[in-house]
Amino acid sequence: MKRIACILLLLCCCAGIAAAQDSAAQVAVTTVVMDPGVLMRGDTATVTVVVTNNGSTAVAISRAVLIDSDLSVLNENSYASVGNLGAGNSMTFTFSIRADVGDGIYYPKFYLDFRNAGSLRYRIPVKVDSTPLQVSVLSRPDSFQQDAKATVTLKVGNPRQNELNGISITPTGTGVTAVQTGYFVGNLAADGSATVSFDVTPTQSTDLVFTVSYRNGLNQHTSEVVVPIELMSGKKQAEPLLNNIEAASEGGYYRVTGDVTNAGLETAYSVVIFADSPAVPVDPFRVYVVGALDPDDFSSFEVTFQADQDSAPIVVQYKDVDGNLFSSTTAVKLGSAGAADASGDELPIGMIALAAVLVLAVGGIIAYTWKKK
Amino acid sequence: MGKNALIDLILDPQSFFAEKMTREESLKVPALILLAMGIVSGIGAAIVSSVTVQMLPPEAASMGGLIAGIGFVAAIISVFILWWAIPSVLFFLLSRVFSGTGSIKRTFEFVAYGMIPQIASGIISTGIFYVYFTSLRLSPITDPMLIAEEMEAIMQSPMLQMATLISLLFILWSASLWIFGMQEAHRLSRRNAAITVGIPVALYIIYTVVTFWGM
Repeated sequence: MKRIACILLLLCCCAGIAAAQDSAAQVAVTTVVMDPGVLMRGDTATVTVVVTNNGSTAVAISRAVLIDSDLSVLNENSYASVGNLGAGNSMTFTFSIRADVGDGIYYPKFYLDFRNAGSLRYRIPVKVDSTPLQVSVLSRPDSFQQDAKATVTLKVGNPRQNELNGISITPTGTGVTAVQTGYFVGNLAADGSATVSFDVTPTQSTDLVFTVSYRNGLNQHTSEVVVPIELMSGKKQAEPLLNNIEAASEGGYYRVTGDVTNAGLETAYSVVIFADSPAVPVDPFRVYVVGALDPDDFSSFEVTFQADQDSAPIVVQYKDVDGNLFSSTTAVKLGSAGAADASGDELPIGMIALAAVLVLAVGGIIAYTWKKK
Repeated sequence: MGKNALIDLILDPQSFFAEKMTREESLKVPALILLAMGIVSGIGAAIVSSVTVQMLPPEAASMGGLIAGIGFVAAIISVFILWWAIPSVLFFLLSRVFSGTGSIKRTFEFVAYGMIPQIASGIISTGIFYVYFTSLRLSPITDPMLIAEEMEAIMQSPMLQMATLISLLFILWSASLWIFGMQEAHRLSRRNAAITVGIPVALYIIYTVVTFWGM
């Protein structure tokens, strides 16, 4: 009798286990979502796994884990103890992974351990692709000119398989300013692109760096494109030149007269001529306004100023058709003894010595003749 | 006028003029002395004129040679008038205040001998003018009214001021010789001779200092 009871108990247990295994077989992974869809090296992503109990009885789940030898799972033990999954219900498991690996497709394993009913294993494909956002210069001037505004157009393209967000472009560079301090592009779908223009004004030869920052999921990334700026005169730029210069000193100030000729291929607008520091412009011609000067055209000019030096810088200032201001400086030798020049000479040492000798000699002779009886 | 006589004039002017009193009055050597002084002054004036003419408008500047020549001749004439005739007449008149007895011709003669230091002064001044003015570059001034102002500014140069001081030093030397000369020529005491010479010379020095430095 006792033996019969043991056999019945064993049969009951086997029947229970078989019933539990039947229930576990009804649990399946129904959804896997990765954000971002494709990682870059070093990125962190979330993997969301949804399991559904399609059976008619509840299933006891012991734990859920994500395991991989290459990818790092940041919350391994988040689901060490789960509980029951009711009939017809779903349960979501979210894991954070970091891809400190090279490009490729990895398959971390999702384990769902059932209490007394084996486990569910499911491989999740994870793509790692480090291709960055592409930035290229679409157009730029043939040559940059000092203090002249120029337009640089960029093309931003997303060669990745997933969408990128929060894309913004910032221009930086020493000695260059931009009208647009930055440009927000927003998001770019896979294989999408956007065109952005910047108006920049360089003051010196430099490297203009466009920094593109963007997000792949929660991961911030940057790309850069460098536009070298080499200042040079424009090929067709107006080029006012001074010649036939004459300097004359006139009672306390200088009068410089001459011709200004446009040797360039474009019209020079708003041409003005004046003496620069250390010279001090004075009336009647502090500034001489020539106006527009066509190519190969010339005009006479006249400026008046005070100066203590032997030469003075004469500045020719003009604008191009866009209103960019240009200037060129010509040192004009004054070569005249103005009031300041004449009185500013220092007495040579030889002159002082000669005077001393003469005073002693003449004084000695006079004294000698007067003492002589 | 021999070498010894020149040494006597420089080192023992009283004996020189006393010895001249024993001789006939003569203006031949004195005239040559003044002529030499005039030539030296004329050269200096020509140098100054040839450079300062650059300030004139281009059409006037082309007559630079003529202007320098006029400066040369004017300097010689002015030497004879300003440096010989006027001081001689003044000394003669002032000596009469102290009952001087010398003739006007003797006064002219001794004044000219007293001018010998001015030859040395003229040579030195001409050298200074040459060094200074040849290094000076002047541009034409379109407003003729401003030329005098520009010249005044040029004359404020330390080198030219030093040349003026040196010329005043030699004037004092000439005055010393003139005192001995007037003492002998007009039979004056040393004191009266000094007053006779001192008054015009002092006035000249004061005039020069005031006009040159504006004191």
